[in-house]
Amino acid sequence: MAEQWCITIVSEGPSPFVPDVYVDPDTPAPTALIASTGDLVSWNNQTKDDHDLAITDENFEVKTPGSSITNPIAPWKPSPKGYVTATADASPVPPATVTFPVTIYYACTVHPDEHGTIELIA
Amino acid sequence: MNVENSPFHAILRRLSLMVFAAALLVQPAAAQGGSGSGKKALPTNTIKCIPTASLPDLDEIVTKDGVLSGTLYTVSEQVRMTTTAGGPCYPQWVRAYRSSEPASWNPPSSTITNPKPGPTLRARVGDIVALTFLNVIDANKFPGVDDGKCDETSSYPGTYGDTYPDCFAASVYTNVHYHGTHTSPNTTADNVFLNIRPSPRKQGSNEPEITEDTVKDSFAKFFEQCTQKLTAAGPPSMWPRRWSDLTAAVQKTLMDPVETYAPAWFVTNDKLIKQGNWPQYYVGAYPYCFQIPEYIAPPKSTTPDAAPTTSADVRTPHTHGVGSAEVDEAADPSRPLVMGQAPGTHWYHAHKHGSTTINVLNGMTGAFIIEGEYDDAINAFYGDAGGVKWTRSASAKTMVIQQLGTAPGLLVGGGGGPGPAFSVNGALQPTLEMAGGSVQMWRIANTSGRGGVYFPAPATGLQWKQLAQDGVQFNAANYGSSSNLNRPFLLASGNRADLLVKAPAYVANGNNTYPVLVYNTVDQSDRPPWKPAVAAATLLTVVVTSDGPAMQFMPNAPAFPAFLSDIPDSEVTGTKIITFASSAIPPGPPPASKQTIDNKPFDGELGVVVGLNKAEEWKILNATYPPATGNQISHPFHIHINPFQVTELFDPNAVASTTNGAGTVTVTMATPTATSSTVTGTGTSFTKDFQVGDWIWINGSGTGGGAMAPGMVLSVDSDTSLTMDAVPGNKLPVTTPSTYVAAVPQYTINPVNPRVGQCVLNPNDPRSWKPCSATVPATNRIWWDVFPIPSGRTFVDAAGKTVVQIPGYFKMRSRFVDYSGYYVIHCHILAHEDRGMMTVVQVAPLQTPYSHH
Repeated sequence: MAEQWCITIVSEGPSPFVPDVYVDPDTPAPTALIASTGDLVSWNNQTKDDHDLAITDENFEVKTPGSSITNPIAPWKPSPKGYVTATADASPVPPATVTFPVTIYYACTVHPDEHGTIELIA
Repeated sequence: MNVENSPFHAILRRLSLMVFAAALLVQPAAAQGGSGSGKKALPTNTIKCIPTASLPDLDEIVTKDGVLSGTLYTVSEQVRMTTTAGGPCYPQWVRAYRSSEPASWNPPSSTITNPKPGPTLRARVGDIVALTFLNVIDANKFPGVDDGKCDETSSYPGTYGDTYPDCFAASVYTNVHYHGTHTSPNTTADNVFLNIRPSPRKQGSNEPEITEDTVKDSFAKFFEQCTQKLTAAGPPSMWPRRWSDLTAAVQKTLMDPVETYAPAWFVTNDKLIKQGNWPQYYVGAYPYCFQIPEYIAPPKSTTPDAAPTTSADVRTPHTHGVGSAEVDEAADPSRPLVMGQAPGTHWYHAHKHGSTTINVLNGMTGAFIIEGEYDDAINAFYGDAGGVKWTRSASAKTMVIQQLGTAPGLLVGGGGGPGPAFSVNGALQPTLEMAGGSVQMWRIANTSGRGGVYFPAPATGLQWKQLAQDGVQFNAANYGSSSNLNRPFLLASGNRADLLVKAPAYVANGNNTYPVLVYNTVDQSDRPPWKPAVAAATLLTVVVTSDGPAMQFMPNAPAFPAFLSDIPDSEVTGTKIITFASSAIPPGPPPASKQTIDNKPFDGELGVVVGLNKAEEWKILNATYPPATGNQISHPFHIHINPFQVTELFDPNAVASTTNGAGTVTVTMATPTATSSTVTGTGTSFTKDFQVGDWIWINGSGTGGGAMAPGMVLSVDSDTSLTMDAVPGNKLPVTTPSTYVAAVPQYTINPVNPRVGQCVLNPNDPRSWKPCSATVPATNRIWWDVFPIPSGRTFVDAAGKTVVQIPGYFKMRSRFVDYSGYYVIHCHILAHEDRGMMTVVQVAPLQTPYSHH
């Protein structure tokens, strides 16, 4: 059974992308969402700006221009499209050869300096 | 005794801590699994499970002075979600029903709880339901929705073939279906056409714009007026009937938010209102108000046909007059109530087309207990417990079974599958304490969105007798039948059962635990004997703590209301044939499929029309033909508002006889896509055991795991070799020698030398496609509101070529009485319903607006 995760887009703080998950009161908030392959991820835009996210390489360069994983996210709205985590862009089933963890890199195509990661652990 | 502080609980707590400590020891290793020396340690996204050892109690909203009043919140909250017993747990945002406002509209990330069903609603027949419904889900916690579009992920709708409106859509829009109520399907009652979106949130504070405070004054006046109107007129009156029945203030409370936040919806609502219809769309809040009608037999002295003892005597309402009678017939004070609400265990759940699956998966279900003379009789026998009526005491357990999760398989590129493990009141495999020799009442509601829960006979020592099915009590004959003791039973998705359960005596220094085992099944072929290797799972465990006072089962059933008498032939005035089907969209296979009724996915169009206060008999067909034996689907048929009785059952997959085979078998398949498999035996006598068309049930597992699905014998090649159809998902081969069962199907299309117990169906004559012997009792029929339609069957020849496909079916009779309006029938596998297997029923008033000449 897949899980569903939410990442908040914020305008202040060390990272624009904050996983909206349970955190022990004494534990710092995680900087990357930790998920499994085939999980469903959405983004909650808590800023006044539009955002649109795409998968990138490890240098946060967009791999395939125009390949939004969220569709444009309006201010104060959730992403209209959910992203199903995958080790490869096209397949939610990890090849047997994959060694975990696998890092998924993504960035905002509207604000290229805003980027984040998802750690796949299975 | 305070059970929380009992010695038993202390032991349980210690055991839980030990298990948890062991989990802590294991978890880091597991979380770092595969991280050999020099490899990066794997982080984890799991959190500590805090299992509830005992069956959790449920919150309740309880009727007072004849009115079930309260607020039902639909909220978003973070829970420790686990889909398998023993964990792991994941922090997950879910949509949930709650009876109180969340502590915070912007909760810190450390706020988390265990999942649990919505509050139990507890009312009594005759009461008015007056519930404020608030949708205060924080929509931003979930993928966004677009009106008029399917939900979109990187996998969905994709190639599944789903198109709006028959798809997963608008997951945060919702409503409430009061499943099992006999009441109005219209306006503010059990109206599942309503679509209520979440209140918008204020930027910064995240507080909803629409809260209880913003609607309470207006709704309070509405509830007061509604209660007065419904009470004064008595059932089966309906109020409000028209939008104009509402005061301007209430109209404004409901429509202003729509105009402000959903202008397109406002335009549609305005059009509906101008047409004289009830508006369908709302934002944030809605007032549910309806009556739970109490049947009162008229006095014999004044009414010749009073106190009916058979349904033929049930009063037929007369209609008179012309003109506006069509509109007001149900409000005609001279029209008597025909059925009344059956007191019993009912339930409620989200039912907005497109979001039903995900809402119910998240846990948006709860029990709706409607008390009445049924409870009075039980209480009279068992007495009060600590000053509390027995059926409300700790001896009466409400058990809400759910399959909890967050992401339906289709949304993430998967299939349907059996779904998560069954939880009870939000807990997986809880324990339930009983004193030795005591009797409890279990009100069990299977509120899962897919899985049927099959209860085999109880563990030795534990005993049960069924009191009611789907919230309708058994009559004396059914309750008192010897077969009603420890009888296995199936609760398909949506079914309920009331049981009296008797604990065995306490065994000093012995084993005092009695697991209640269940199978997850949507068809008989999902469980033994069809799949011998499938193991039952523990639903809960009864723990006998010490001997208590010896208690007995009630000797007699509570008095049976006259309105629940059998529907005889003489009362039936119409018949219909309705066909449910899942069919693959080429090139298939499922889940790329169409879900239809009468070959049509749901589009809001009328599917069935019935005259008010008529009884009809419907033949409900299942024209779903799996590509191979073993993937059968028995769609659970559900109809709103009125229960029904089953009068005929035809299962083309029924079994005539079974024989345990000698020796063992292994199975190979030439290629992963081959349409047949080779079964090789050791010490077997296949030529004696099998004929072409028989079934072989293998007690083994494929190499990919999972029990071997049943197969059909395509050819018998020798005593040690035969060919069977291939079953997708079996992950062949089966290399471990396994035992097997030879099963003779009850129905064959081969007219030559049918086997003992077999009946011949003529593939060219559909009139022969019916049971060859009585399949249901002619009298004392049980009432249902969900019933699985037996799967269709594909008959093949020796070459595996399809000869004919024959649908399964059942016939049901129902009284379409008391309440006119629109409601629905649908498959209670809710992904099928969301994807199109639903249609509209109109119960039309008998009287037209026109006069005769």
